[in-house]
Amino acid sequence: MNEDEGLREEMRKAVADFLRAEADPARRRTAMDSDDGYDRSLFERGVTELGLGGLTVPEACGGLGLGFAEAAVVIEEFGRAVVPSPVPDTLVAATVLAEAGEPAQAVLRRLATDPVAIAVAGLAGPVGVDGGRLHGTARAVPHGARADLVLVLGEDGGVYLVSPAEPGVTRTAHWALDHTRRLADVEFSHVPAKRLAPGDDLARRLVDLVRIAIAVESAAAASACLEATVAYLKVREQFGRPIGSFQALKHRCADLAVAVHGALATARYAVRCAASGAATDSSGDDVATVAAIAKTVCTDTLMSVAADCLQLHGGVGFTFEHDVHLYLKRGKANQVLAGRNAQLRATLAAKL
Amino acid sequence: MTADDAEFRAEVRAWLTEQLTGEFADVAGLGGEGREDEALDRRREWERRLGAGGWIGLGWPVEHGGRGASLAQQVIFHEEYARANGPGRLLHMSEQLVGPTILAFGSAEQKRRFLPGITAGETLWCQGYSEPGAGSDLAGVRTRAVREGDEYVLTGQKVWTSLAHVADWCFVLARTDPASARHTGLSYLLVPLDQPGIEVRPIKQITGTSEFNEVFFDGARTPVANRVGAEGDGWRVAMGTLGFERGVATLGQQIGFRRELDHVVALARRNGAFDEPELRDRLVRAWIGLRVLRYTAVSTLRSAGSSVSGLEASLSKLQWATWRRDLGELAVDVLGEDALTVGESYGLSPEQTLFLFSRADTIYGGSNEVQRNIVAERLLGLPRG
Repeated sequence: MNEDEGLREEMRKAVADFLRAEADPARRRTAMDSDDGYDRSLFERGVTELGLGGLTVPEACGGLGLGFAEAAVVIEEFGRAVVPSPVPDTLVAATVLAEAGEPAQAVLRRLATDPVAIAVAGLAGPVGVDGGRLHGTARAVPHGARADLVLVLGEDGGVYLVSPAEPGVTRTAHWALDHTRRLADVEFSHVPAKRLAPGDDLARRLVDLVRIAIAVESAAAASACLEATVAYLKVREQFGRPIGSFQALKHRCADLAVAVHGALATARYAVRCAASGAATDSSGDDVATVAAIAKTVCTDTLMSVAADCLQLHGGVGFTFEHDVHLYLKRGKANQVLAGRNAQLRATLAAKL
Repeated sequence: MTADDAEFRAEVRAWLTEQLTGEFADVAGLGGEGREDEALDRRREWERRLGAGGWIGLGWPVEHGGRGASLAQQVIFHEEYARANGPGRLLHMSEQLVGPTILAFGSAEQKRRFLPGITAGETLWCQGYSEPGAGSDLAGVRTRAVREGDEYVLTGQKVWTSLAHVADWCFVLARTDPASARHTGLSYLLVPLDQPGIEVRPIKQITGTSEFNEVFFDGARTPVANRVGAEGDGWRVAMGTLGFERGVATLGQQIGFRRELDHVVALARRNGAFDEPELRDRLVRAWIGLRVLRYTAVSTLRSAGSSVSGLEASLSKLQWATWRRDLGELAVDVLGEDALTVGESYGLSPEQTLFLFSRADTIYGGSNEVQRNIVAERLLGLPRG
């Protein structure tokens, strides 16, 4: 294990411990039913105690100066616990802002010290831009209603940073199929906004990192869901023995383990590609291609793992009280968010 | 990849290219699946050339004729071999199964006697494990080996013995204690095939060709000195071999998979199948699946030391064998009616061969069901039934 990996393992442990203590299942339930849709105090403590907000902020701006590889470790742990939180999107946004450089200096300094939740808008279709003003509606923005700032994908290929407090921004909060990720429609009516960079590289980067972040949390969630299910199969008895001893169930779990193994490898591979700075990998794939592959593979895996895990729990799996439905709903939502998987595969066909 | 690995890859590529476009151009691409008997003499010469070039037993210690190469370099060799369209290997069981077993469990004398023949590309070994009554349940082995003086005398039958019809030696799991049952009382014996008391009969496969055989032992003999490990300890030795079988070579085979997929995609583009949305989506899924196989192999290499664990190997086998079986079905669907006729005497096209042969991938070397049991019990810790 090299030095970087050692650091990441320490971070992983710290975040896992933090979430175990502060986001236990009962508090997670309270958070997902609250007005915010997430636990604001957990977010604030994550920022102040673990330094999550400033993780990818350059040291010159007061942050820790780490990269997407470290952010991904945090996202994995939040994914494992299906915690309702704007932390993953905020980390992605902060990574992209750090890469935007000078135009984002002020917000980066804020991120390093204050709890600032950032939502990413425009993934379901970019927002109109006319003479430096945003107009139109960004649909299905994760945690969009309670975010402190919104990073907007414009139809001109630009990325814009907007405060929802600006006149002309209207947010409509929705309860979501995924109980752990509240969505909002964010409407802009001729809102002046600052474009962070010329060209469309930053927008592409933002989309890639969002997709990889979804892949990472999905693979981790699938892994956690399978672990919990296997633990249940070892203790649940029917016909006088643990049901996990029945071959039909064991084989199903083995197939899920193969899928999880592949999904984790895929998600981590995509993270390394995104963090490496190389234009292409040894297969000649660019980061956008790897991100699209990872997004489809990992979200399909979470969906199928959660679906089977619900079935393996029997009637208990159909109860609201049990957590398995949180994974199922997250899986379905992640298949759809940031580019439906069928649509991504249709795009990937050009690579064959 | 390190600079050393890049240099190693360049060395392998240059050597293979020189051989396979020069003196051995005639064997390039021969002896693949369903064509195992193609150009046998030339392919044995090719194995000797590989041996002379120092390419057999790459990961073995230098004192036993190897190069002490890292896992990454062994994978590089397999990748480059596939890329160069090298012929089907005749010595793969020699190099990947019995060789590592002798290295791990053999005596100093056995290492001196048997390993040089393998690294020189000379000795062709086959595997005598499965029997009509002992397939997935290998502990049901009934072939007997009775001691007479300083020899064992073998009686029984092995089955699915690949290449037995051309092999020089067979490594045999036999019951040396007639009163024993299951995993006890078995021994791992090295048996010369060229002797009276051994009959090899080819088995015709669903492809119409014969790659594996039945082997009948009726009074065949081998010296006691050819037993690997202690008498009665054969199960442990054989399990070591299975671990090797499910190991390193599979990491390097993806170049070959890539070639097969590219071929199917090219066919689909040519005949218009690519424009059918359902087939196109299946092709994209196959393409993505192969990427996942690669990412998984990369992850295994990153975490593995010098060898691949049996567990990783089981996960990988389930993953690739299922992927390839699906590709075989897709290849036929892409070809449509063109895939429905075969040549004279059931002569198969590469796509038809892929479709039929990939059914074996999920069976040999531990069926998918056995691999699932291994993953469920050893990785997930689910109780035995």
